[in-house]
Amino acid sequence: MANNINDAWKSTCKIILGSEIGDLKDYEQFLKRYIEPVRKNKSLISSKDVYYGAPYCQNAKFVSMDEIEQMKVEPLGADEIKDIDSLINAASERIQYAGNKLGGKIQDVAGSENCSDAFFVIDSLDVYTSEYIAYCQMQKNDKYMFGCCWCTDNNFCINSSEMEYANRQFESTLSMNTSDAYYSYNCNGCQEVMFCFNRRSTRYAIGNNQLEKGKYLALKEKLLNEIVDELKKKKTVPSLIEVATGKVR
Amino acid sequence: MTGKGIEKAFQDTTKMIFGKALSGLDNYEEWLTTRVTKGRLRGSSTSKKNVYVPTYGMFRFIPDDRVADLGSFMQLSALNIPIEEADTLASISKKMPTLATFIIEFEEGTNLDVESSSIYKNLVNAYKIVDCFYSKHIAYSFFSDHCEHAFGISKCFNCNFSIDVHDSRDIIRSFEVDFSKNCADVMFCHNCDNVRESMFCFNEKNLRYAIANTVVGREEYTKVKAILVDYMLEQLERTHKLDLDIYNVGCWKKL
Repeated sequence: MANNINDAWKSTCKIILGSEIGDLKDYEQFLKRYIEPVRKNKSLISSKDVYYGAPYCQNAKFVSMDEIEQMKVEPLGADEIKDIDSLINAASERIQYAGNKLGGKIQDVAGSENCSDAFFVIDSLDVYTSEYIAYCQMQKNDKYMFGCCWCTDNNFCINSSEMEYANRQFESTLSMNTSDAYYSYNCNGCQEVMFCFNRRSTRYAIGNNQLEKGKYLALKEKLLNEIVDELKKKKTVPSLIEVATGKVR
Repeated sequence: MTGKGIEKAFQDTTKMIFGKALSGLDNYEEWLTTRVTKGRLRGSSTSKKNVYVPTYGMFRFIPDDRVADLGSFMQLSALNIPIEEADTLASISKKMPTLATFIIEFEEGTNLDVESSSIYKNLVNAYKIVDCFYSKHIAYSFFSDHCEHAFGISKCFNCNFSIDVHDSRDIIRSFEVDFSKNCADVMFCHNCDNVRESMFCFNEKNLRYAIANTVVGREEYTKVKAILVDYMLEQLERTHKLDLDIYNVGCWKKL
């Protein structure tokens, strides 16, 4: 079990890519590729950072969820509800949007919003019953997820989305009951697939070609080494879309 | 173009919220999708069908000429590209365009009268929705389950006869609500719990007949609600949109 989110990142890289590639913070931009940003403002009460995900207008008043008890609101006067202009102005002057909405059991959650029963989470939105999550959005029952969004019941994934019961995914989308998938899309019930699209119950395949196990693993190792080298040098690699549309040179 | 079923549902919902039915749901599409993750209607690259492509996450980067409908699955699954021992990321990428077509649709369960939508299960009478399950009479909505007569809603559960509600659950007959639960007959409320017949309330629990967190009583509330509803109906009927919403009311300035 990792002691912190950075250790979790290193473990996840080793499991998925076969090698560590450095610290989590160096890959922030790469990992934010698919998610909506976590927004930030200052609390009206304490000036502390208030994190939120909804598109509240920037110049509004904000309050941290744990400060709501201290919130002061001027009672409405009779003059303020006599017509539509006074009503909306009165409401507008009073409204305070709440951020830092964290509930249930929480530990080591930072820069995140709308998390519940979450442990070791940074810069993420909508995280439920999950642990070791960074730069993610809408995660439920997930562990060791980095740069992922809209996932349920998955483990050890990087820059992947729309998954359920998936393990060890890298730049993959729409994976159900699939493990060890890289740059793949819409693969269900698959294991050890790279660059595969629209497949069911496929194993040891690259580009939708089913290969002999030894040949697959040899080519997988070679391609992963290339990906790891590029990540270490540039702190990013081409996205699933860039690979799929022939844009990698 | 909306069908008769969803049009009627919209009229019933607006009648319940505003006391007057609004007609012509198509005219309100731009307004209802302002704060909702919507889709874009595109032609499938493999058939004559249209596909409703979501605009969130990875989906928003998919080129329009690479989307396909669910009916094309068998044809696309059979495609492959030649692989050699000397292949690199770049050489594989060069071959990928012949293989990489993105089927956007996901459909499960029993669905009836679902039009121009993607990612759904057990829906009845739905139009331009993305990722909604177990719901009926729902349009222009995103990632919401067990909702009924709902328009312009996102990330909601069990919301009924409501318009423009987000990140909420157990909401009924409400309008412009954000991050709330167990509320009924509320308008422009944020982070409320068990609030009823109230407007412009925020970070509060257990209120009734309240305006901006001040309880004003039934008579006063009814009077003020009439003023607000008249204002909204006039703007909606004339322009098919409302400039004020739950996200901008916090810094609203009269032009």
